[in-house]
Amino acid sequence: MKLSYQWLKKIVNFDLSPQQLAERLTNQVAEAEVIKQSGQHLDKIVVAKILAIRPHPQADRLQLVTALTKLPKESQKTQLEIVCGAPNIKVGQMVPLALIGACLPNGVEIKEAVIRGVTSTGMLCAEDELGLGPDHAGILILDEQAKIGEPISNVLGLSDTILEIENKSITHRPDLFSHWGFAREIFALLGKQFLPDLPKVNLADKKLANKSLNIKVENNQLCPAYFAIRLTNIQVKPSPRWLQQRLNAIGIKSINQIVDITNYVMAEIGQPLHAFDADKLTDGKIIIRLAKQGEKIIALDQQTYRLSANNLVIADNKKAIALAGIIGGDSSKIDANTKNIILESANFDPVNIRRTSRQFNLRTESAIRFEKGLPVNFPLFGLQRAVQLFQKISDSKIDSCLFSQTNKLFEQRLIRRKKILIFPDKINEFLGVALTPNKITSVLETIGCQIKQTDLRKEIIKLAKQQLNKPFRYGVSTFLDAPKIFDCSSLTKYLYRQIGVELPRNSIMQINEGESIDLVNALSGDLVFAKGNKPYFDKTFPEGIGHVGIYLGKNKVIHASSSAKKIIKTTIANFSSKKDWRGVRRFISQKRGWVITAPIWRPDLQLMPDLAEEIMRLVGYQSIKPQPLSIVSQAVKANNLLFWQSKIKNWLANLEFTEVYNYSFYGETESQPVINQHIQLANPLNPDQKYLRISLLPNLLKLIKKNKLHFSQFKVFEVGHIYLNQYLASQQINEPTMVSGIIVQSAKTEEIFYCVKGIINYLAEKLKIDESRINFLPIPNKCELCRKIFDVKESASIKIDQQIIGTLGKIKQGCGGFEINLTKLIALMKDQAIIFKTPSIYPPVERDLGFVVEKGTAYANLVSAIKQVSPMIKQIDLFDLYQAPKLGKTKKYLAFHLIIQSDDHTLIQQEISQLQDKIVQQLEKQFSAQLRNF
Amino acid sequence: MLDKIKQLEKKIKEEIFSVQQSIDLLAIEKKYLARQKGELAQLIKRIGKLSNEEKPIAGQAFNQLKQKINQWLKQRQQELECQSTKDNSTAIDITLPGKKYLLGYLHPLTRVRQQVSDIFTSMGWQVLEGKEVETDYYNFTALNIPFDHPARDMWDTFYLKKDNLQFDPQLIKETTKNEKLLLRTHTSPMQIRVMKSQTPPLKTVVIGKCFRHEATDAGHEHTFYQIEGLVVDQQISLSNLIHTLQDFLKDFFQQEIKFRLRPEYFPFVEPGLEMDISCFNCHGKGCSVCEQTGWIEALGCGMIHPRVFQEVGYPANKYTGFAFGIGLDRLAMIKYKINDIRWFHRGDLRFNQQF
Repeated sequence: MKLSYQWLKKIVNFDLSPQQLAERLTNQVAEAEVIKQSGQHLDKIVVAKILAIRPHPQADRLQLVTALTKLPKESQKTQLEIVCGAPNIKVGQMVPLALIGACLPNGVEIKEAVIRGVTSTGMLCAEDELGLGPDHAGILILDEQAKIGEPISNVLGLSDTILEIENKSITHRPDLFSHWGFAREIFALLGKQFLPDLPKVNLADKKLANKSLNIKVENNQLCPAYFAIRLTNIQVKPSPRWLQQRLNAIGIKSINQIVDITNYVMAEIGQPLHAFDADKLTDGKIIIRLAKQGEKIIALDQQTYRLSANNLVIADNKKAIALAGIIGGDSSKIDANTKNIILESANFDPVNIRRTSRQFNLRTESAIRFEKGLPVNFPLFGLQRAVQLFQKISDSKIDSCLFSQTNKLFEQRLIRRKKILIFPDKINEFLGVALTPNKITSVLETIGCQIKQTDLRKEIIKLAKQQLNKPFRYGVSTFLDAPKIFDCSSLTKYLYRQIGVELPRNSIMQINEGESIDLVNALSGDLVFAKGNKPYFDKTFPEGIGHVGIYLGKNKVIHASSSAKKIIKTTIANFSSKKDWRGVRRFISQKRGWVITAPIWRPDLQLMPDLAEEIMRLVGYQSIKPQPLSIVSQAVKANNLLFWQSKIKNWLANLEFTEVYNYSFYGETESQPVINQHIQLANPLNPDQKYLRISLLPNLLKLIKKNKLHFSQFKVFEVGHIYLNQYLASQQINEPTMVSGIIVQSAKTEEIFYCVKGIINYLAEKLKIDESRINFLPIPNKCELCRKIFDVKESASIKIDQQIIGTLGKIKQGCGGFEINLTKLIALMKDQAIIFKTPSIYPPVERDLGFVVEKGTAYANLVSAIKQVSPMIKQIDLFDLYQAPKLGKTKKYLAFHLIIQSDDHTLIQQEISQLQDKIVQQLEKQFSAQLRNF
Repeated sequence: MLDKIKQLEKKIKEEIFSVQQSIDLLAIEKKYLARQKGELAQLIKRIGKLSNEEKPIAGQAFNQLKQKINQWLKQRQQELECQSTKDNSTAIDITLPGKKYLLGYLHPLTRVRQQVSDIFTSMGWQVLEGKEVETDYYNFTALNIPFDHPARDMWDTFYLKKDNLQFDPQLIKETTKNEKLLLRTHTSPMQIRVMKSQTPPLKTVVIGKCFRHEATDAGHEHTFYQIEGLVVDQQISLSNLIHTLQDFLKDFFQQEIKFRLRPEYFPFVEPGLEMDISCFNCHGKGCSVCEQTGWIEALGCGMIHPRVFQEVGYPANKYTGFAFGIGLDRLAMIKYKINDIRWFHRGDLRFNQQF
């Protein structure tokens, strides 16, 4: 929203530069920024007085003017000779003079010119030449009081600075969408209260009492208040200059007096208005109703909108003539022939306005105000202000009695103010400051709050007594019916509301919220509870609770009695039998408190923290002295996943992997052939980001092409979430954390599968997951995405215990990768107890054995067979592996290096030979392996 | 007198630089600079006898000489030390490069995240990450941002289609099916999840990925990272919040940070504040980094709104607490002077390998 510095200054008369003002507002109200300074372009145009006029010797239509002015930065006045063709000038007038070097808004630069033989040292300006309007009939004649030599922008009020307010920071402050709103804040910053001149306009002329408007509010839920008045004798003409300038300054185009006034009032006090051409309404009628499904309206923007049945419209007898609170209709708009208007000032349901405005993407100035929920005093006030302006700048006359219709809730909100109970010590505790009660009072007063310091219990009792004998009816509204008629809990709720405490609506919720007190300790104002006739039941009160009264002390109670059908005063014994007694609850913690009444224009002030914010921002946040937290320290359990995730990242970095972060989505190509396993974004930014990833690999693989130019080989990894299409019982998507990496080799240096497998082995060793728990299996058929990404023949699934936790292998020539489900992996990690074993003190023996086996024989099977021979075989390392024609086509050769060691004796030669033979026999038996000597 | 000093200077310089062993330097030092009997000590005595006009000039020259001698001694000493290794002809060339061990690199956001996490862990906070897919309820409604509230405009949101979801059979389908799924627009839904599952005192920090449905440019990304802080207990105050943030920023940037607090609206806190820190680039004078304001928006924070406590089922008026949200990306950008937020997700290794 844009604010005019000059406009604000006119209201408040403060002594701050635009920059200073913006800074104060930013620090204490809402983010404000100086965005534009206007009027500077009229730099060298100054006020001049016409001293003499003579005819031009060479031209009939031209005159020679002697003008008295003062050049910028000079103290003496100067006389200049100007050639001028305008007929309207007279000696003694004050006129705008463009000096040599001035640059007019239309781009013309003023130079010394010889016109028909006479030198002109400047130019007198007409309205259009100053960019003020269309008038070129004559030179603009200024006020006689204008000071000679004064810059014209000052005289005409053209120099202004525009401040932009960040709308999102005042979303909760509907009162701030106007100059008055900010003027009020500036007053508060200066420690004063804004007491504006309210327009004193009589909208209820008795002579017009029988001239009522034909208006019907069909939906008073969505239109809680509608005010309108008819004005006649309208002349459609441009607004006076001051009005045009105000609007131009804040970026609103001046159209004509009528439209300008409605816009002006909106910018000034924040209430959007609308003017209908009264003669264009079918049957002169206005109806506020819901649109018919499919009904059309051509709006002021010349667009046709097809309405739905939940859009509120203003209609005449035939058709919609405005989209309520958002935009006017073309059919009833003000045009050059308008003679009579109906001026509307209303209050609309913010939610409905917001939905409709978003439905048609019509974020008009009016809509952004109504959707915030405007204060209830605005509509009538806005209408009065508009009428006042009409009377001031035109000859229009009021031509009807005021139409005014408000719903019950709106009426209540007009008369009742929100009350909030605060305790100054609590406010100080909450903010961590030590403000004096006087300081708190003065700040709250500057923003329009009323403060009543009171004995809370006495206040409650006094109010309770005033309600005696009022009628009882079950289920009445605490807002609309109180204080005329009550039920038991609406009475207590009403009474507490008067001291600024908001209780829940019914007795069971009230008893559950208060502090429990023994009857002997009960004080006046505490609530007493009983089973009642219509009890509620819950876990705490399986025996039922349904009645509440207010304790007066001395065993007396005031309550709304269903049997007496009125509010009565009685004894505790009469209030409840021993059997039905449910206890006492307390809602007042301190005897004396401050009951704050919020001003009507501040619907956002609801709770203690709202007031604390007002106090602190106006006192200044910089005055808070930071205090360290004093929470007792407790041992914090590290998040397992995050702990190991961070370690794994470091380990991978040690293995030359560089970490990258990728987006969480990809396109259709990447999600094939399992698109249906992907969660789709409802509103992707582009088709390449349409699906939530179920693997990190597709986006990692895209990096190969990106980095090829600069890197011939590299290793990258990512740790991040994937999103499975499983909605868990915890009401969340199954979203495991994965760690994935790819290796890109420049030349085929090693077999890529083993290259990647080594990394998995390394991680397993680091995580202390025993080798025996890990298995590598062919990729199962159901892992369709894995089978697509990996070369199935040279890849494997990784299984730990009974769970598949990932995949690794070759992706394409020179490129391999892995993907591990970290969430699963971490869950499988057992207690990391490492148990030390004393190294054997007996000497180890080393043996090398080579075998020829069938090609299809798995290394892992050979190793486990060897291991089973004896626990003395401590270590088995493969040191040679080859296939050669001399072995036979289907054969391969493997050579193992064994370390054999006993824990309890020194091995003797015979023992070793026996062990060796056993191994050979075992492998021969199991795999038809042939021992091959070196 | 001045001539004399000059001559002496020349002589001493020659002597120092002709020395070949450190031990000889000591002798020279003793010869000239010894307190009582050094030549300079003798010289100063003579200067003392000069006229008042000459005295200050000679005194100054004398002091300069003394400084120079010390400097030369030091210089020669270093030269001799270097020479002693050079002379050793059997030694290896220790200036040749070492064996090249290849390195991997952590992403700058990981580094910053780790640092932040360490700081809060050291202060006894619990560190969490949370899920990135959230429900409308946790992301908005529970945080006092009802469905039709204009405040929703503050968060442009990615919504998810639910048509191919497999629902856990334990779930009551109807209620869950109506719940909108989205990518979290902030880490704040974790406030609700933490408070619903734990009782105060709470000191929690959530660091994780967030998403906003907006076009990317140098300053905006649809994918970014947030640090969410949450403290709840009895008698937590706004001044505690400020202290915590001040402490954190000081620790993170390793220097005292100048900041300002100003009102800002976030529906789930009251009072709501924005903290700006003094621009690192221009130190508050105004530059292109801070858009001429001298300040950089660092974080949003405030006291937890009573309606949020009500929503998570905490008893009324029992607890107070604060929350804050910091852009991790922003911290990294400030720390490493990264000029464009889009670098983080480009996967250009020339970027990643600088960290």
